[in-house]
This record gives sequence, structure tokens and C-alpha cells, in this order.
Amino acid sequence: MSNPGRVFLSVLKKELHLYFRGTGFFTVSVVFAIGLYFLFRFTYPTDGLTFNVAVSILWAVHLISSIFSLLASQEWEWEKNALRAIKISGADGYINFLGKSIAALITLTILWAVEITAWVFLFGSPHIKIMAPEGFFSSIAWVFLAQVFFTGLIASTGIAFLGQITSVLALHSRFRHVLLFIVFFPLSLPAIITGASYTRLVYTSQDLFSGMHMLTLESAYAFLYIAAGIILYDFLWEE
Amino acid sequence: MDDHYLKFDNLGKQYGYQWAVRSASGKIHPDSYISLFGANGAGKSTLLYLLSGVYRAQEGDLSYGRGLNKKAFHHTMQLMSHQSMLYHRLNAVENLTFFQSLYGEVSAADITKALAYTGLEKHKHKTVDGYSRGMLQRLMLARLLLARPEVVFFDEPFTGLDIRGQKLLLSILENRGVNDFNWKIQSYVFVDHDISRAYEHCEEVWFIDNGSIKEMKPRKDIPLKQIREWLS
Repeated sequence: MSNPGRVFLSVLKKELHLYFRGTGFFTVSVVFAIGLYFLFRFTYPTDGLTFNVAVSILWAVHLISSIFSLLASQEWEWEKNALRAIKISGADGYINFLGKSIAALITLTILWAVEITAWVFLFGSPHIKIMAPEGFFSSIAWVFLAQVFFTGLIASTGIAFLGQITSVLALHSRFRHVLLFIVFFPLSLPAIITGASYTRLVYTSQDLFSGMHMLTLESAYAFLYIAAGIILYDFLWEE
Repeated sequence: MDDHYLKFDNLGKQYGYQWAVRSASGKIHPDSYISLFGANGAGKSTLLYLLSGVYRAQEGDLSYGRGLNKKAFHHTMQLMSHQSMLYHRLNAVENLTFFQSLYGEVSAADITKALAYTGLEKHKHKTVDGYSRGMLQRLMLARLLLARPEVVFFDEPFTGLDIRGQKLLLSILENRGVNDFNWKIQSYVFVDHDISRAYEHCEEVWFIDNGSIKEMKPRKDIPLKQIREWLS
């Protein structure tokens, strides 16, 4: 007999394999992110609109990358109904949900790390001297980067888990792509807005530790989506 | 004690407002080899999907015998359908490894043996999206060999198979398993568009019409001619 731990690891491994096979999805997401950064960075004067919209661009890019990952994940379940073979094995729905969500989270976290690195080079911060005199990030820039990374990690957790809920919900609909956006987009906004607000605060303020309550709120959203998925997934994947 | 794998009572499933299966009842016992006959759209595939747990019934109950609970039953059962239910961006070995891991330990040697048996050894590192229809069926056959299920639901399993593939599957149906894999099929429900072949390979005939099972009789009580009349 199989055990839930082994099934979880199998699903996780399979999903990561699919995300990174051929690197197509990853390359498209990174090229798209950097392209958009360049567009905004060099369209406006550096002391004007660019700094005002820098945080929005960062988060808009991450939201769109998340949607790419979600569409990819939904597509390979839909193509030949492979999910049905998992159901036939008697595996629990919530185990499949956890495996898929954590794989999505790992993928989004790697993307986020690449996205913020490119972003910080192009946009810097109006209050932080990003580069150290020796030519690498200054110590305060590391704190800033860590905070932006951490808020993105929490938001990505919410997005990854919510994404798998909405993906399976829309899977058997003829309008699955449209339905996915209709359900996912409004539900993901609280996590995105909170994450963006916190990033804006640390980007524009010299007090890097204010606004921790926003991280708490963001964590609460993530926890809500994780709990909802574990409880509901067995019902949601039914046909 | 009533010795059965699966008992279903008044099962019903609808698509939209249309009932595809309604009030279907029956049992699957050990050593029952059943062919399910019915016209296109009569509800054959839907019934198999309900029995194998792909669909959830909107009406009725499924219960399990032989001391099995739902999970244990799922570990003794497989569905081989005309839908591949494989990950097309993984190769044959990755697909088999993944699906086998849902059931227990994965043996690389067994996977190699199953791929050799089904004639896919040369193609084992190709992603499945490059496979022909027949190759997909062979890969599903390899998945069956690895799982060694006691109960199998065959839904048009010959779809796309070439002559060699058909011979392979026929030998499995005739021998009720594969000795080389220590696999013995205890029961199956078989749906096939070739009525003669389905009739030859069963001991019990089920006939479904408009989503309801109308007949469940031993094959000896129903001549092939009768089945042809029902279907015409």
C-alpha cells in the first residue's frame, strides 16, 4: 500500500519536473519580466513616474508570472485527463493539492528571486544606496532585499495554494481559462495588494521595519487559502 | 458472506439535465468476466467511470466486499480506457514511475520489463506527446502490468492498437493476466465496439440501454444473435 507521504513527494517531484522541463515556462516568465522592467525604466525620467510605479510593475509582473504558471499547471492536467488516473489510485485529493501547490510555490519563489534581483538593479530605491563602495550590495540593501523577498514569498504562498483551488474548479469547464481568471483574479487581489503596499512602504521609507502588520495580514490570507484547499479539494476535484 | 469486490445500488450520474446512467445496480464478484453491451451513448463508459471512482455518483451507493474499504479497493482495481490519462510532457519511464509510486514501491527493473513486454523499450525516453494512439494504449497496458490489479475495467482498450498490440491485449484477456508479471485478473468488465470479440471474452453479459442496465445474465443464456438484435 502507498502512504500519503510518498504520494505527496511523487506529486511534488512530477510537478517540478513539468514546470522545469525544457525551461520554456521559466524563460518566458523571466524574459517577460525583464522586458517590462526595461520598458518602464527607460521610458520615464528616473526621478519621476518611474519610482512611483516601480513597485506596481514588480507586483504586476509577479501576478502575470503566477498566472502563466497556473495556466501551465492546469493545461497538463487537462490535456489527457491524467488527474483521473490519480483518482483511480484512490489517492486523497488534499495530498494531490499539497503536492501541486508546494511545487507551484517553489517555482514562483525562484521566479520571484530572479524578478526582484533584476528589479533592484534597474530601479534601486529612492532612499537606499543599493551598491556598496566595493561594488556589491550594501548591507542595508540586503535588509531591503530580504524584506521584499519575504513579502513576495508569503504572497506567493497564497497565490500558489489559491491557484490550485481555482485551477481544479475550472478544469472541467469548457471555458476553463476564462473561469480561472474570473475566480482567481479577485481572490488573489488581497494578497497582492497587501504585498505591494508593504513593498512600497519599505521602498519609499527609511524605516525598514514599519508595516509588519501588513505581513501578518498577508500571512492570514495565505493560511486561509491553504486551509480552504485542504478542506475543499476532495470535493472540488470530483466530476 | 456474500463474496463480492464491489456492489452498486441505484447508481445515477447526469450531465447537465440528461441522465447518462440511472438506477444501475449490480455486483462484481471474483471470477466474473463481464462484457458490457450497449449502443453509442447508452452509458457504458459513464458506468465504468462511476465504478472506478473517476466520477462521483449523484445517486445511489457503492460498497465494497472481501474486507476491502474504498482505498483498498482502489489499490486492487484499474481502468484501461481509450483516454490515455497520462502526462504528455513526461516520458514513458517518468509516467510509469509516477503512477506506480501512487500504489507502492517503484521498481526500475519492473518498469523496464513492462516496457519491453509492451514493445516500448526503444521509445522509453521520448515524451509521450510524440506517441501515436497505439503507443499510448501500449503504455497504459504497461501501467496495468505494473499495478497488477485484481479487477480491471476495460473501456474500448483496443482503440488504436496495431495487430501486435491487439494480440498482446487478447492474450491478457484470454489468460486473465500475465504469468511473467505474477498478475492474475480476478474480474473484469469489458466494453468493446467489436461485439463478437466482447462476447467471446466474457462469461457474463450485461446490457445497458438509456443509462439503465436491462440484462445481467450468464453468456450461455444469451446467444450472440440476441445481442445483435438488441443493438440494431
